[in-house]
Amino acid sequence: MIATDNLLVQRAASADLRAFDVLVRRYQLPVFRLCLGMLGDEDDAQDAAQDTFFMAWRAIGRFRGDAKFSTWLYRIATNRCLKELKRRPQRTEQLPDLPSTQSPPDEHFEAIERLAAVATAVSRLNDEQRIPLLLREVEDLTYTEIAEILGVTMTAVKSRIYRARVELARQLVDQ
Amino acid sequence: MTPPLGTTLPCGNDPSRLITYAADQTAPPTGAHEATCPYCKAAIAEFVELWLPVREWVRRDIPLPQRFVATVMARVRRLVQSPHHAASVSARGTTTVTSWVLGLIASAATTDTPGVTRITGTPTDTHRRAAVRYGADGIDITEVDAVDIAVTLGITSEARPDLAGLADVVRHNVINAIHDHTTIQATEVDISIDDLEFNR
Repeated sequence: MIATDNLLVQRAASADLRAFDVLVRRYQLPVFRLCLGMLGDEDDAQDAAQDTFFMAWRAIGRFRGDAKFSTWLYRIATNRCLKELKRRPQRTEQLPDLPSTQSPPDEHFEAIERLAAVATAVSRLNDEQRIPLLLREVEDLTYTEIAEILGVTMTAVKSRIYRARVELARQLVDQ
Repeated sequence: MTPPLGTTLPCGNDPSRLITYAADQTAPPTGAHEATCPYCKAAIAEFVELWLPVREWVRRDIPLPQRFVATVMARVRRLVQSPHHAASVSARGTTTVTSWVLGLIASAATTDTPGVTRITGTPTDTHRRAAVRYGADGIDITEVDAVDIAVTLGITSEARPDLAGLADVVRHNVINAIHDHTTIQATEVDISIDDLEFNR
């Protein structure tokens, strides 16, 4: 039987390292993917994702279950990445998570170009638009969950995502 | 086909307003203009096509960093096993803070609180009444759940009506100061008001 997040969180809060290990395995990809989308750099994303789980472990005793564990985790990851972005002198516009381009067949090459075009367009969005867009498009979260993670109203989330989508569409049309 | 961004559709609708239907993969609500308007329906279809590479990008394979789980769990284990209070653990090393330092921080936060005259010692340590300003004497630090800490301290306060409120302010200041300085979380701050000072 697969243990629910809530059960694992309860056990982890009682210092059960195995339970926390399962949670890390369960959420490593979405957390790393979110950090990579926000920061654009693989090393920074790895540090941020590791810190997210470390901070989650330290705070897990205070997780009350009002929100889903995943939402809580995304909030920690988002705040960690925002701190990193604020620390940077200038935003880097690089999303290196693309497949290798060594001698690809034409079809493969076209696919890589398509993905690169989207990656570039997403990286050019400002943080206020890019972060909710990633949470919506990539992590498939609801508007309510995104509002909870970012600590803003649902109207603000809808507006930011709308503006991000229009800007993304504009860039894709121009390419 | 390219969606007509920046223009107005022949029906008068702004096409960018239709992008949400394509991105969220939802149909316009029954009875809405765009549910039946051929221009709007065509624009939505164009946005759906434009959004295909975005969906492809979303579904792309992202290789996880090697030994990700092992690295995270190693950091957690080091934190749990640390005899000191760990402020941070990373691949480059561990930062720990002794109870003495935490006591100093708590002491400063307490004595800087208006209304607190001095730290008088903890209920279990009342002999340490000669606590020095910014000294950690009179403050007990214990670990909670291997990662968080509990603080116990006793104070002498100015005589005032709301002593419970004063204790709340001290508690708040101690928690914030410890977290700001070390990132360590004080989950409990027990405060004993041991004495009162009347300024007559």
